[in-house]
Amino acid sequence: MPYEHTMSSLPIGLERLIYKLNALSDETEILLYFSAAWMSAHIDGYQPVLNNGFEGDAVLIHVGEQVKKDYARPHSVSIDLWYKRGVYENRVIMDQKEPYTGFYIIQPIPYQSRPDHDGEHWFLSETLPDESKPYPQTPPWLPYTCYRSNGIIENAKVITKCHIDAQIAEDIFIAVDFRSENLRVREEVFAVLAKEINSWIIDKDARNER
Amino acid sequence: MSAKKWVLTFNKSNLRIVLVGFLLISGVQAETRGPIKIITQDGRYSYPREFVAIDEWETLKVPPLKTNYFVFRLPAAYAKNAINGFTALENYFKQDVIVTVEVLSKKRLAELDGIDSQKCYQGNYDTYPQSVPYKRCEYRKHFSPEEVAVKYQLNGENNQYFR
Repeated sequence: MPYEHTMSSLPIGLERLIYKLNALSDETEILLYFSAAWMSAHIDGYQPVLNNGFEGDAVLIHVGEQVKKDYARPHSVSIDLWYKRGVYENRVIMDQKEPYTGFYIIQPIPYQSRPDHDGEHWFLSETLPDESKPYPQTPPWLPYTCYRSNGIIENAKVITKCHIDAQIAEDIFIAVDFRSENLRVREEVFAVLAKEINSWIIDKDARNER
Repeated sequence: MSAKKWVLTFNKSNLRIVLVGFLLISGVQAETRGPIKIITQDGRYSYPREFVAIDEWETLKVPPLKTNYFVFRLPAAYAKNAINGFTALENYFKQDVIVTVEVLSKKRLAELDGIDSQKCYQGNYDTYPQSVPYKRCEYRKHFSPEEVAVKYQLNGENNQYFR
């Protein structure tokens, strides 16, 4: 694993997050950092500087059979959102796709309706939920969760992040928080990260033969 | 190539190539005098335009240079002064020039060898609950034999013609 992706290059806030994760970790997850420059160099269309701030993505990697099972479980938030129930019983769907991102926006009402979370959040989806039909399970309907990263409005602009999970190998999953302007290249981001992270894997059989 | 090795091998020739990247932004750039002002993740820096000759980058020990990858922005106001016809403001947004510099490892050289590309995209400024569209163009160039790749991004409808 290249040194530049380890925690030493992380902003202070993320280092605290890592400390927290390590305290809870059973060594099946690790948080890595891919700098704005690294992402920009590897991905056409990736915007490394937004609203005068430098990007760079913290990538949480989950590994193991248990993680695989966890990801396969029904996602309760998505199911509640689909059936318009629970804290999402008043959800509102924008009737047209947002023109420049290609997503429908699903907004919980009230805005801060997620349990144990004070900040406003909303969801992006390429297809609309329909509570009159069964929840799609193959593949499951999983909208992206977006939230205000700082919870404040700065100079009338809102800084947002959208959280996306992806499977990059048989038992390896990654989670990335995208700025919405970089959502357009999310598939490219996942492809590049998958290639990079998979190149670090040491062949267990080869290692045992030494 | 490790980060440590990169520091050792980032020599004058490499730096000259990086400067070429700057100059490619505009044909009129060479007429501009004064320092190059850039903003990095670690702060603002002002480099003498002649820094290639005096190894200014190495002297300053800029932290981002301890990696193979380095990104900075040329402020829109600076670009407007440096590039004839450059539009610094569109849709109320400043159109900074974003420059990504990469010292190529063997693996990356195989991917970017000889690259000289131009791509333009429709971007969208994030201004929840709406997005404001903008035009973004990217240019990549591989400089050999120093094995440095430079990518620069120009935002704005009017700025896509500069290279």
